[in-house]
Amino acid sequence: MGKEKLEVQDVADPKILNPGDAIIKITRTAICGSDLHLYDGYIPTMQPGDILGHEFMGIVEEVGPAVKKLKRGDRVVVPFTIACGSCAFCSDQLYSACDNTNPNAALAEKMYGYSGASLYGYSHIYGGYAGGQAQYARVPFADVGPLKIENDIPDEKLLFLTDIFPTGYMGAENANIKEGDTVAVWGAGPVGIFAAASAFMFGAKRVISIDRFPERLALAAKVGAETLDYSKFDTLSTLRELTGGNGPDATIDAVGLEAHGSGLGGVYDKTQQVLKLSFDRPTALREAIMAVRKGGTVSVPGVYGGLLDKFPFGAAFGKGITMKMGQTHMQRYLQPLLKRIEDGQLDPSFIISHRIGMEEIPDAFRVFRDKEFGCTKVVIDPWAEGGRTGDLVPKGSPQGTTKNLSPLAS
Amino acid sequence: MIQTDVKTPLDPRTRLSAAPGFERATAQSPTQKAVQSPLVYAALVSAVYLFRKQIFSPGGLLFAAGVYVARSAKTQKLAGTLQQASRGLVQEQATFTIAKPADELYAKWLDIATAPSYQESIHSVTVTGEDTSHWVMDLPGGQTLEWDAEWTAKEPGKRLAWRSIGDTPVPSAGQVSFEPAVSGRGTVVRVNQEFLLPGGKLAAALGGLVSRTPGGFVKENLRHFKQLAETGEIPTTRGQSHGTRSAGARVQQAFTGDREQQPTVPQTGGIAHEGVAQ
Repeated sequence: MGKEKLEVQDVADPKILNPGDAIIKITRTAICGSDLHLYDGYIPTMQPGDILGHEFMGIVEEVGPAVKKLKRGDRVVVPFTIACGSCAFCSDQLYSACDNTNPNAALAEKMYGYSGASLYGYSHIYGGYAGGQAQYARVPFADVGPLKIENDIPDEKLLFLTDIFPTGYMGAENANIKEGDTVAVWGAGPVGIFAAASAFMFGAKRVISIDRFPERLALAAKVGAETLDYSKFDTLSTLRELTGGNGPDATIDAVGLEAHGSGLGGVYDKTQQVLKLSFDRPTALREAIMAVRKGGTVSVPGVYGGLLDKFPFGAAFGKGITMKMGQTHMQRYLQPLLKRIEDGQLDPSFIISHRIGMEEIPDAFRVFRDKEFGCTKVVIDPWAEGGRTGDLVPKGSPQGTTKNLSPLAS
Repeated sequence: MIQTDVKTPLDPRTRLSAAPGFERATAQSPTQKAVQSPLVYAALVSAVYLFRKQIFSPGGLLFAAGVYVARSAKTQKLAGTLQQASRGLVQEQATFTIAKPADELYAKWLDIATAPSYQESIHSVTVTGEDTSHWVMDLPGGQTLEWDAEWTAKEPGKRLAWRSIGDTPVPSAGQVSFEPAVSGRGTVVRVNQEFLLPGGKLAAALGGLVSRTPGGFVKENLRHFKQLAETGEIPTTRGQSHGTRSAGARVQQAFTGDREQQPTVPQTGGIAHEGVAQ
């Protein structure tokens, strides 16, 4: 309802508005790290009353007259980008560049000079579609997006196909990894962890995950990454040391616009952001550019929303690096990554730290943002009894005074 | 020859300036001239500027107006620009590449009775003769604007041109051209339209604050045409559920937020909204 203001409200059930729509009864949904950018007010054109959430799956409740591939009762995973499937970009599998799904394309063009695919619950420049932190959601272009699930794998293992697993995977794909490469990943949040896991799938020999939260670094270690705590070690010199003086072959910024910089540079960025002189705090991106070896690749799955300050373009040019970035072309990855989950190559549910109900969502945003209680990923059961599971705050912690009560610290 | 000017002029025969009564319609009355004084214009510009910045303080408005008037050299220059702008003729162009063959798109556009399904605010189009049609447009406040139009060119698969005929408050002319894309994928569709607006470009710009500018209409209508041709529907969020919108949000929405407008739902045999549950 405003910056850092969330409410759980009863609203009318969604309706079919276009012939290609479906209505989904949501069985599991989640809070994404990129939702925190909305929560903290860094993505423009949010309005009070907007419904957030872009990681959801469920059961088809109703379909519009033009929907051919889905019917009532189908179990589906819904990708967070809305694509039409028919435009030139969709034909090239550049689904997040879709021409035809943003009702506010004119607004997006005014701000960004172009309009791409809409996203669920992610501001009005990205379409203004109601999101999926809810019991029901309207899914437009239902023949194009949703992935039909025809196995009995539990929701929690499939839910992250909606965004973070494919996003991490595309982050690794964009890094141009060759057999035997060393890859450094900034951020051991969900996307960073899936990027690290995926980097190995593309043939990386070593993956170095950079973060400062022990529970996150522990998850990165679980997928086989070496870990670097940037609060204890200088990132650039350590990476250089670890890579025989060359720098990693590829670097991945899985942090985005709210990096926690250290030292004076971090203070400078935060000040600019608070004063609205700059939207983004690009610490991770700067380091990813400075760290990568000559001729290497910088891949950016982390989200950016505006203008960057102190961007080391001279270093990028001087080293002749390649940069790839962007919202995930979701529809491209759903089938292949579902196959990997079905084959047991990866169980994405290992990153979940909290399972909550609807009423606990506003608190969970704060807990997730402040990384309290070892929070790495929050999954919501929208039908939990009374809207609460009691899983958010560990037993014995006083309610409402959650700051600095991390079980890891005590 | 390499053509670097991307503005495609209308066919001279269909230009509004060639139409009878053009000079009369663009002549300025003494009232119009008075309204265009630097002072009035400065106040307007300040108001527009401050509204867009969402500063509503009257003190802020007065201050900005004062600054503008004080910088009289600038106000004079702006007034000059305004005099040009208010001559009445508004010319707009929009271009999209549509992933369909030219012939198919030509046929869609020629089927002009379906225009309300992709052109915003057009209530109905009735074909009245081999080359003529009657148009009804919804205006804010429940008013309507009606006029007759005729095709002035039909070049199958390539170009269509039209203009308004008879006595109408807003004479208009336009054309749409279809050209295979260089990539060989799809068709470059370019629409040129010109309108003789009572308030000219100034009225157009002010209108853009609450609704769309004429250029916005031309562009969004072509975008809707593309969306309908490529996907069979026009994306929308109108009518979706949402939480409580604050009063402030509505003001914000009016000035900086969504401009989403849906073309009229066709009365019979709908194209865009077939079977839509309301």
